[in-house]
Amino acid sequence: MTERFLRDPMSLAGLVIIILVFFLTMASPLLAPHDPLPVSLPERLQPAGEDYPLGTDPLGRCLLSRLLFGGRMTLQYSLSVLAIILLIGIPVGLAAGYLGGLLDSILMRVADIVLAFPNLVLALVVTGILGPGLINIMIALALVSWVQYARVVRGMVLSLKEKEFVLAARAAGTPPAGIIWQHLLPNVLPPVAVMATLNLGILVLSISTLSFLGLGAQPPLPEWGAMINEARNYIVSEPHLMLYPGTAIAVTVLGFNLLGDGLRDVLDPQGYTRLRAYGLGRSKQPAFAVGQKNN
Amino acid sequence: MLKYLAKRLLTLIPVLLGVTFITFILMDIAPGDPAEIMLSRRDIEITPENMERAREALGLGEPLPVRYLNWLQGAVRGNLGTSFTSGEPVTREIVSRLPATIELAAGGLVVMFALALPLGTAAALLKGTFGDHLGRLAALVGASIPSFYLGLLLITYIAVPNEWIPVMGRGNGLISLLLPSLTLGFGLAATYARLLRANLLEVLQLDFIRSARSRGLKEAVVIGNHALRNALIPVVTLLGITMGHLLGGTVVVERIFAWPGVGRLAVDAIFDRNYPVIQGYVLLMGVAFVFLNLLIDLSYRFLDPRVKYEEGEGKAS
Repeated sequence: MTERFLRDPMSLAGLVIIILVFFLTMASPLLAPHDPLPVSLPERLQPAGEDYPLGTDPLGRCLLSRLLFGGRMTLQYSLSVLAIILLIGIPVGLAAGYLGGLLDSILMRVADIVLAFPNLVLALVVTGILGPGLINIMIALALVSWVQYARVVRGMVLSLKEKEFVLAARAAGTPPAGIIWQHLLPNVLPPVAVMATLNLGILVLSISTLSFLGLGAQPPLPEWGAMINEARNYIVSEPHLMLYPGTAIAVTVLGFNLLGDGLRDVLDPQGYTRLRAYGLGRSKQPAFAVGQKNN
Repeated sequence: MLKYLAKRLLTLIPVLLGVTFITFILMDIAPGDPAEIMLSRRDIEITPENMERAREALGLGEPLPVRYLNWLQGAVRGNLGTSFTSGEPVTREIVSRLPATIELAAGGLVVMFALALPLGTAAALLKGTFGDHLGRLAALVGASIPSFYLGLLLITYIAVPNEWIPVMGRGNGLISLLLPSLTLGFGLAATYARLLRANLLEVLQLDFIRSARSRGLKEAVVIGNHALRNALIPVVTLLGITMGHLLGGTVVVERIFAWPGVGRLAVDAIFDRNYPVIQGYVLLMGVAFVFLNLLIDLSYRFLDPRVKYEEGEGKAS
């Protein structure tokens, strides 16, 4: 299994990119040559040189340091949102799928409402109402994303619970909590891991998009999307100000996409997550999703 | 058919009720007094009397469910309240901005198909070759570039060196639409080219393709008339979901290119905490998204005559 994953050059490239990005950004306090926050106008727009490896921004702050700290901010918030989504989505999906009843009906109605709206629009509106800020973005994104996981997990549980090994466990008198914990959860996790990987790419995009719009990270905090927004007035004279953070976002998202694509071949042969590859997914699968193996 | 339509439209109602009610609750618990926000946006002095009058005008004295029902009563008649900032009716503001957004979304769709059709077909025909692998990588890269970054790149490296390409607003007719549509359609084109490739490969293995070939039809006819048409059906299914990305994407694109559409109205409203406009935008997006999906479901019939409408769901038999 691992061997197959490692033999695909694209999955491997994804893994390398993600490890590299994580290392560089998480170690930013050690790696960054300067403090990313203090403004120093005499040093504004310095070219790349010994002191400032990538030069400085219009407020005289070290671009490399802001890039590293900014990535840490983007990734930390993406991971936190993901953790919240998983902690809500998986248990709700498991319980709704296995126990059915009122919880299931409520979940499906809520899902209908949330999925009737474009995700970004909904996140935008929720942040708009709560007010700008990274914490509010987190709440907004978690609020609109957990439903997808709950729906997919529920769908998997519905098909799993008729399988022999679950029926056998039930016949042996295992209580529902035991069945969910020992038999359903382990089978649900691999496809969810694929979804989560691909979702991290989408979360990075969403957080940087909302920050670019001015709704996320507030100045002077460095964040990739916010940095591009700050660079907007300089795109012609100083294009590198947007090129660095923009490329950083694209490479990171590409890494998650490559990694998720590769993981899917290994962890999700049934294709529960196939449509989600590009964030297009819904639990109702069109017929073509089934045999789409030959790529 | 009519029964199906009626049923679909009926399911729309609880969804819209649900989401507008949720936004109402969120606005209620959000910090800040709407009356105060409205006064400050209109540069009216905040005195107890003015506050009292604003509260009354907004109906804030009533409990939340009553306020929601009042809003709903107005909404059914097309009255979504007045904007905090301009004092104009929200409905009029949204309607006047709508053509620009529809134009942009249509442009994005055109770009998407114009890129995805040839690229997807080529990738399927070149399956397994170097070009195909390059295509997969290109699609993944295309889906990884944030649209706001792509928009700025297009401005910097295409519009600025070529002065005849406008970058702001929609004052110059179709040519103003060029870069915004490209920004909006590019990322989706990458995804769709891959989907089309996968579908085409599957269809090309079916019996009717072999029989078409054995009848001596030209390969171009086999691909163009027989295979492509069938490969497009599942692509259309996905269009419904893509509409969401398109509608969301317009917000970003409109901001970058100063495009005077609904998305920009919404972002401005969000910064101004202009609640009536935000609420109107939510309603519009919900209605638009559901109607577009309905339209797409209906269009299967033209692509695939086997589709029957029953039990409220379009099923390919």
